[in-house]
Amino acid sequence: MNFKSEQLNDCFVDDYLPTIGVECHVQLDTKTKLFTAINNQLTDDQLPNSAVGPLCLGLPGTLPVVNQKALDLAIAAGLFLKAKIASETRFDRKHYFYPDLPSGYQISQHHYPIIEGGLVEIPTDAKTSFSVRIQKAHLEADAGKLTHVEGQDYSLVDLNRVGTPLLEIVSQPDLHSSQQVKQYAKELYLLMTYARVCQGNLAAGNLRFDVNVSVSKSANQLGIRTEIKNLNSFRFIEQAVRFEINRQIQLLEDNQTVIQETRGFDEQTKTTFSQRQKEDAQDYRYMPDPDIPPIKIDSNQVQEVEKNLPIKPQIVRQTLNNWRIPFSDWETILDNQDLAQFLVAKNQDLNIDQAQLFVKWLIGDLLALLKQNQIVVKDILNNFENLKIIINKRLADEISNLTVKQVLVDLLVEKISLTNILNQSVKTQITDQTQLQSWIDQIIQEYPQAFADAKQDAKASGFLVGQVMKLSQNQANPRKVAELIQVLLKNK
Amino acid sequence: MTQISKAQVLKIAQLAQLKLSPQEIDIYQRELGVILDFSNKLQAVSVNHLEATEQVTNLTNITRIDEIDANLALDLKDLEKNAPNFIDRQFAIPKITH
Amino acid sequence: MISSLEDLVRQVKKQKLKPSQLVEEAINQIQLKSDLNIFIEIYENQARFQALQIEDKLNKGHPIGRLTGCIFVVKDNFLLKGSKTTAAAPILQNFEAPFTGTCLQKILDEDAILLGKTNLDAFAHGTSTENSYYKSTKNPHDSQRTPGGSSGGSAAALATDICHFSLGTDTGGSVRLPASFCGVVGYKPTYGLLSRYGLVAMASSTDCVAPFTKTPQDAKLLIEIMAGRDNLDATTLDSSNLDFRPKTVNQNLTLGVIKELNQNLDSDVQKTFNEALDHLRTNGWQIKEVSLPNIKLALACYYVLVSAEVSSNLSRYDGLRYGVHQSHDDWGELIKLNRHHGFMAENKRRIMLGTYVLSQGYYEAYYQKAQKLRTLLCQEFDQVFRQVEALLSPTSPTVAFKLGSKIDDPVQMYLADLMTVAPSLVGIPAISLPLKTAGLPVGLQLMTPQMTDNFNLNLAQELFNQLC
Repeated sequence: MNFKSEQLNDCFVDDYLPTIGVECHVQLDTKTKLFTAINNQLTDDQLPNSAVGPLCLGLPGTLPVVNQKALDLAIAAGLFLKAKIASETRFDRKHYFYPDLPSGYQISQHHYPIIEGGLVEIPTDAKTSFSVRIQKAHLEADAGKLTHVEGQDYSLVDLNRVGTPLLEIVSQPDLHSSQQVKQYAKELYLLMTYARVCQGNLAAGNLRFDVNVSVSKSANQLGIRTEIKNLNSFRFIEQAVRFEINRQIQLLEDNQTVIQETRGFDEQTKTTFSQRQKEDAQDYRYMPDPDIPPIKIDSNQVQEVEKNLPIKPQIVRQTLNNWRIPFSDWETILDNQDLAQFLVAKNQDLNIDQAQLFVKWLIGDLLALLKQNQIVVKDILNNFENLKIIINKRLADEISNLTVKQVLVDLLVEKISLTNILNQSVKTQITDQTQLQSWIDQIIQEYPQAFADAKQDAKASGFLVGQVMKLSQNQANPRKVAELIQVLLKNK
Repeated sequence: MTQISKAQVLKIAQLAQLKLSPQEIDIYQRELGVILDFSNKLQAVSVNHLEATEQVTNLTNITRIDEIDANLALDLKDLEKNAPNFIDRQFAIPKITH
Repeated sequence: MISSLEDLVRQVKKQKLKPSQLVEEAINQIQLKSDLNIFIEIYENQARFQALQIEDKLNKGHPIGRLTGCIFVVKDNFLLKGSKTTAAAPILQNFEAPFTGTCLQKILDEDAILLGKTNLDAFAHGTSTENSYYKSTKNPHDSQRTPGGSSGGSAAALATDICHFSLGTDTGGSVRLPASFCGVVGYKPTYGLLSRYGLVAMASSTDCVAPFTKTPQDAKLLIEIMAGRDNLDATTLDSSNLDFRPKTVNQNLTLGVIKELNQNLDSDVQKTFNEALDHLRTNGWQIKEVSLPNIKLALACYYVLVSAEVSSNLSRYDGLRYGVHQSHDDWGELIKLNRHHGFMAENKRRIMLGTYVLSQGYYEAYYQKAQKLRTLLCQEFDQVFRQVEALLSPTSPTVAFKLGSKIDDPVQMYLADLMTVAPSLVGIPAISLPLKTAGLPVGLQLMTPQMTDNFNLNLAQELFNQLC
């Protein structure tokens, strides 16, 4: 167990400690399939059986040839998983019959997987984290898709997905709650998308999770486990694990036994249901694939991949931590890889104050604009220097907080040049003393107490300035207003 | 002679998805026994100290670049030509209920 | 008179021989020999058309290939685009291939004329061509006997002069054995020299495209044309360093006779083999007896490994995407029915054996053990090739056996491969040469180290000149 005993104690449900292991299938983002040069970039509206070749159909006379890119992506994934890359890796045939498996066997890796060991650390706040050990990760070819047609006596087989490269990441049973499982799944998602080995489209099934769940009264003895297959959203993973934990506990409390089996998850009822008895574990008759010579990976090749790796999530977190950005904001930044990587790249160009303000805008106004599709990430990245100017002006109080949002819209959406924006705000700002004075008088009349407070404490005049700005519908020149108020405070 | 039980024969047939008639079960029970007897000669020699040879070519690292081969893809008529049942661009099979 | 394929091509180029005439003669010959059941499919009209196209190219002075006008046939486990490839098995009887395999394409690209697809044991499982879904092929020398297998049809086609050369596949002797039974040359190259892309796979680690020819020199031309790395087959070797130029063989080398394979032979085989050795000695060759102590286990080793790979390679035949299919409401039962009706008895036998040796509890004792024995055999061959440059044995312990004589006894049938399996397991080149005999043909097998295909064929030509 890799938890402190206090952490473990927190995981007990009633008297039972749940233990969960996760197998995650990651679809690798290659142009072609794992063993044949057929299109692997399937679109949402891809017609059935429109990306297939002879090997995908399991025709006689066909042979597998390994896609080098898939190996490189697996190595990249391994580096992100802090894993050991095997110096020699081989492929094996895993035999079983199913309509979505044209060859009658899946080419996988049983004896010599490409990735051995590894560690995933999941932060739970700025200072603490828990870790999950990776047992191994191996490459395998994906199978086709079955559709069971309502009201008909047939099912349909689409082989587009046959041969898509998968990296199956197998964790040790180091997870002990549904919450942890969800966090782990999210972290894997982050790692795989940051490594750019996977597109990260969950709806399209780019990552699929199987979970093995068991409960036990003792932390040293594992209970009988069930497997829940094919979960492809974080919400469903958490719900499925939570339900299953409770279901097993209930069974045991009723003096019944948990049956070792495969279960599915019903998204509507949020329950698991039995699918297949696992009594006789399937005999896959693993056989080294004689069509595929072994792959030797030397340190040069690994270094080559390492040189070109994108920035890891940990580095983003470190950067945010150094800027003292609150932990609760990290996830929003991390969720946008381009922004996160950009921040890391601009690490040296921003001091803490600038960074904090920039991040605040990113997760606030700018995120809103992104979500409304009014801007794209590139707009922000391309305008960094301009944004820095605005940041500095804001920090110097030359632009009020209220005007920031408008300025950002003008710059990024309306694409007005910064010079014009700044000129315009100066131009349209009212500096006419008479007008300003009349507004100030109005405010002082409305807030006599505030005026009195300001006389005692100069800083409190900010409130008055703000009210004048509001009254003037942001047209007043804030500096001028502040100056005039100071004069009044000194005099009266 | 190496004895294989009927149950074993049936189990192998199940793994291999072969439907055997009762006569065939008898025949294979006998024939497999004979062939295995013959194969048992392998047990006479000591080879545990050796590595298995899975490939005699001694090739390693044979891979291909990640580019589409336009000549390889099959179009719909290639699939329809040999398919037993083809509906809505897909292979139709008896409905899977379990 | 045609002395070689190269000679034929020369004569065709000089317009001394007309391709369309050659085709008509071949078609005639097919009809004369139709009782031998050589063919599964005959491409009369396509061949005639091809011949006309070649003549057109010749008339116009367009470039032509190295096999222009040569007529050939292939075993029906080679995929040919737009044609049926049946592997002589029920399940593939209507299968139309959507692509042509690499080796076949290379031969067609050299303007050879394809006349048809020949009979074989279903899925190449067999040593007599009696396991075909279609009628058994008969031996041209004696129609009561088998032509050998599994490439019996291609061997018989050449032996009856229907074609100038033919292609088969050799996994454990499937070209050498029929060559020996039918009295022609059959050459199994170094494993990996020729691409397997487009072959109905039997045992992936020993399957080889292998030609039948009248002389070793002809085989050399074909091997040279077909050899080379193929992007579609990861087990192909780089042949760019192989030198296929003719080279006279210096008789200052020692030939080894494998002691363990020079026993328990049919009397006619023993006699013919001994005579051949005597003849060589008289001509000044050094012949030495060598021992490969574990070669007797090669057959058991072969059948374990090959069955395992066969059971795996035949898993794809479930009838759901192609192939002859039955009817059933349940997909699992449907697959079983499709396979039940789709395979011949020998196919099922090998699938059962292969599944058994790969199954849990038996994998180490059988499959893994056989793979380790294979290592031992490789070591023994390496050792022996340090003592001698080439090895000799009879190709088969018997001459062609009578049709029906072994069909009920699988082990007896397997014993026909006794001489030929070891070179297949270790991947070395091996050729069968038709010795001069009064009676039924007897083959002499010559084996040399891996990647010495040019040496093997040069030496074979020399022996051929002296013995055949």
